[in-house]
Amino acid sequence: MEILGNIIIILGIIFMLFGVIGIFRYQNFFVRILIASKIDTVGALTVVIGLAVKHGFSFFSLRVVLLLVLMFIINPMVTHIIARSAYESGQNIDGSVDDIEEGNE
Amino acid sequence: MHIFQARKNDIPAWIVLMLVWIILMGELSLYALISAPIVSFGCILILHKFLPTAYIQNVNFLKLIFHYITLVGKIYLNGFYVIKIILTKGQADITEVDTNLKNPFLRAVLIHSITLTPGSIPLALEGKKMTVLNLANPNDLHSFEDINKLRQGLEKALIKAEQET
Repeated sequence: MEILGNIIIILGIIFMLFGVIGIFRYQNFFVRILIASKIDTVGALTVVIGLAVKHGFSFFSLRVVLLLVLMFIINPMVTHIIARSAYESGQNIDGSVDDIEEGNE
Repeated sequence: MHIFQARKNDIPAWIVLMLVWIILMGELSLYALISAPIVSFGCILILHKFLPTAYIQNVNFLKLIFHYITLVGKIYLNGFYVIKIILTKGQADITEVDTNLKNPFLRAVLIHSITLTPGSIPLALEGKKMTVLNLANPNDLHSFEDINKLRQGLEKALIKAEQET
């Protein structure tokens, strides 16, 4: 179980590594946030599953699963709020920024 | 008396909250077993006071669990797609799709599930229309088709949760 757990954790870290490469590779804000949300979900999900598998059926594993549920609820909300506020602030998907202040034309 | 009658439908939520409390305590002690029902009852009282629970009355939560199980599969599939985009070439694109869900709570669950799926973040939900930010390959840009396919896949289980109650 411990070896299997370690393999799953390493897979999660590899997912995160690709996410970090993506964030450095792209300069566009929206592409970056789309890639960063991948680290939140796939990477963290895999690492947490790996931790639960490694420790077997225990209170620790149940707490880790509870943490996973909280991550599932909170992470997408944070990503959505950041992306939406950028979009409504005038950030365009091509990287340009609209001047939305009144009187500035 | 009125309070206890209103709480009769909350028994499944009460049991789940008790289990969560015992897990957080980390042991099956007498203190945990006595405090769990009291704390979870308090949580349900607060929930009824501050949350619009009318929206969740027509939702089958067991079907919703199946939705989240299928969602994990979609998260991994799209995770590999995003890795492909990271290693090749990608661009952000905004597209609009309509949802068939009637219940506002399930629409929120759909939006939440789309955000959990790598490569897509909903920006707005106005009525039935969703505005979704999508990560796509600039040489093969099919944002609407991609998001619509994702929406249809996720909506299947959610429609069942909406109807069979």
